[in-house]
Amino acid sequence: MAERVLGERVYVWEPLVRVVHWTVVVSMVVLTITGLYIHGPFLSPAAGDTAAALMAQVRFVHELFAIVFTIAVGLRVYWAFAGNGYASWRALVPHTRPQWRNLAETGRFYGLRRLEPPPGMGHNALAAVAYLVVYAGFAGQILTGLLLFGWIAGVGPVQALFGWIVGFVPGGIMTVRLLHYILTFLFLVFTVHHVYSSVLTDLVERNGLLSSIVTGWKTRWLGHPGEAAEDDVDA
Amino acid sequence: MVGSTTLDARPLTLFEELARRGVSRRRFLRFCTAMAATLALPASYAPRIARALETKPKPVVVWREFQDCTGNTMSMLRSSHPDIAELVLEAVSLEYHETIMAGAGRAAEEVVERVRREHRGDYVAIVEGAIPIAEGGIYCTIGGRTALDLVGEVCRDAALTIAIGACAWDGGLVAQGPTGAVGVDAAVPGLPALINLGGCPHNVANTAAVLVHYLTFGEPPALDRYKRPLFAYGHVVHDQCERRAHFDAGRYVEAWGDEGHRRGWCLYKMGCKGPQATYNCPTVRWNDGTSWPVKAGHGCIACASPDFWATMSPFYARLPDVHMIGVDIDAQTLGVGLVGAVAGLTVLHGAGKAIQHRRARHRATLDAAGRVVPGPLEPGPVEPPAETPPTGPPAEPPAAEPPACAGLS
Repeated sequence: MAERVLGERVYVWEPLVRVVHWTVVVSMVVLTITGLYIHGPFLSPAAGDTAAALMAQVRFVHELFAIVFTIAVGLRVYWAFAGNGYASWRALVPHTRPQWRNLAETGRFYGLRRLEPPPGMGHNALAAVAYLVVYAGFAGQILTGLLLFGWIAGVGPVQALFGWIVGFVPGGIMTVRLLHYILTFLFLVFTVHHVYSSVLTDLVERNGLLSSIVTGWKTRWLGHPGEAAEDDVDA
Repeated sequence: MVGSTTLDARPLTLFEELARRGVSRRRFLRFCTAMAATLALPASYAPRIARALETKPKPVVVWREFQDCTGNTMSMLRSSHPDIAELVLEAVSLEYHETIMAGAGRAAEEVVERVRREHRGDYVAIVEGAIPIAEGGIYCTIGGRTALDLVGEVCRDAALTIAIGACAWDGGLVAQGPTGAVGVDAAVPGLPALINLGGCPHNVANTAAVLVHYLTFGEPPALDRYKRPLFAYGHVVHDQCERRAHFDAGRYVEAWGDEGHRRGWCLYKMGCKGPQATYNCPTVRWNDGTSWPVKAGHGCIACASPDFWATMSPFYARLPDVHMIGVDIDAQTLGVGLVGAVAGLTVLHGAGKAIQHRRARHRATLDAAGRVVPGPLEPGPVEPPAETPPTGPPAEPPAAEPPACAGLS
């Protein structure tokens, strides 16, 4: 293997991608905590507090951050068609031969069959597929959330637009509630994996992956075998 | 009460029939106002309702029971001080009602035949209980005929069919059994005027209101997609609940009989389905408007929701169980287990990755200039690489190898 030489800095994540990432992080933390409280209230107001509105306030915060989260996710979906090559849907949906090869090679990396992931600047193909699944989960969470919100509201635009869907869900509103709850745990599972794999990849690749989600910049190593050929996957 | 003798004379109006039962005009007008309120109509409709009940002949009603527990009938009858709504149900010309009629056998069945003949397209059919359709409907027969047959002919000739209770609506509890039990809508598809009054049991106030609406306006009230009247099934129980303030405040019953339960706090954590249920139970209430389950200290089981025996159980848990292969597991156990399993796998993977790198470092070499060159990116197959001498004794005697290789080449 050739020796690594510090190479050029590459601008990968545009501001919108980074802002959306951290907005989603904050929203997910708030939504998970408030959501778990709404599912099983673990705090009670002080005895004799006649003005308590704990659940009402938690639900307000949950709904507020649900709107923030929905807007952030919507912007990121828009950016998949308007952003740079690293953010594009073309980099996320595996549809070319190099992407399939990258997918297999990244699988070998996680399967302890190779030491480093295949070189590349943006998402590797496996991560891209994971994000597609997570975004499908986001869509499910947003939709079930809207159904629950419309159900509570009873009237209004949300109920008018989405309320009819409940009638076609087997098990009705209870299934919607169950899905909304179960999906939370899928996001927790994803978060565990996401934090681990980003730290791991950062340690192995040493190309500034972790700091790139703050600064937007990564480092391209020179003399990395196959770099030029495989980087086309992302750009 | 059943089996009218006045069919040939001028039919009485509902008001006259109530007056005959000792209902004063003042009480009658109060009833008309209450019905307007139940139907979510402005109070100005009360005189119109009163006029209709005073002038139109009381409707002829046939009440058929199939696979049921008679709970809906009991809901109408078992009142120590009969509410006027219950009286209304009794005061209509209830020509046929298996539980409370005096006649039996062929004579009773002939009453249905006569109503169908003389009041075709004019009478009201009330159905209580589910209709089994498995194996030709043999699981419920009356007078040698299946429920499927009977419900078809009595409903098709009626001006209006009212399916009361969960069973007549969508099969209810019976639908969980093996008889293929369904509600009226599925047993007799395409009825022109069908109203489902789900609930276990129906609320007599709603059934009376539907009859009053039909008498006053000549048509059923506005219905939802399950053919349930919106006035009764259009609002979430949770939003009408008198314990809602405790929900918003965050005060919950944690165990039956605890301090919060004695103080009347919210039953959300005890599995109350009020947030999922739609019904006017909290406002109409039961037993002469005395109480309803949550007021009595028990959570709502959403008995007026579609397929509630299946979808709303377990009644004392927030969420339904997740049905996996042969096991019912609650969602929280599943979720926490999933996160724990992935966290455990992650730790194992991290350890595996560390070992992989340590082994790669051992294979690192120095180049001509004395700089460290890491080991090969590919650790190779599970067997040790060629340059590493095998550590253990070979599995097979080396002598066996050359002939095989020679044979291949």
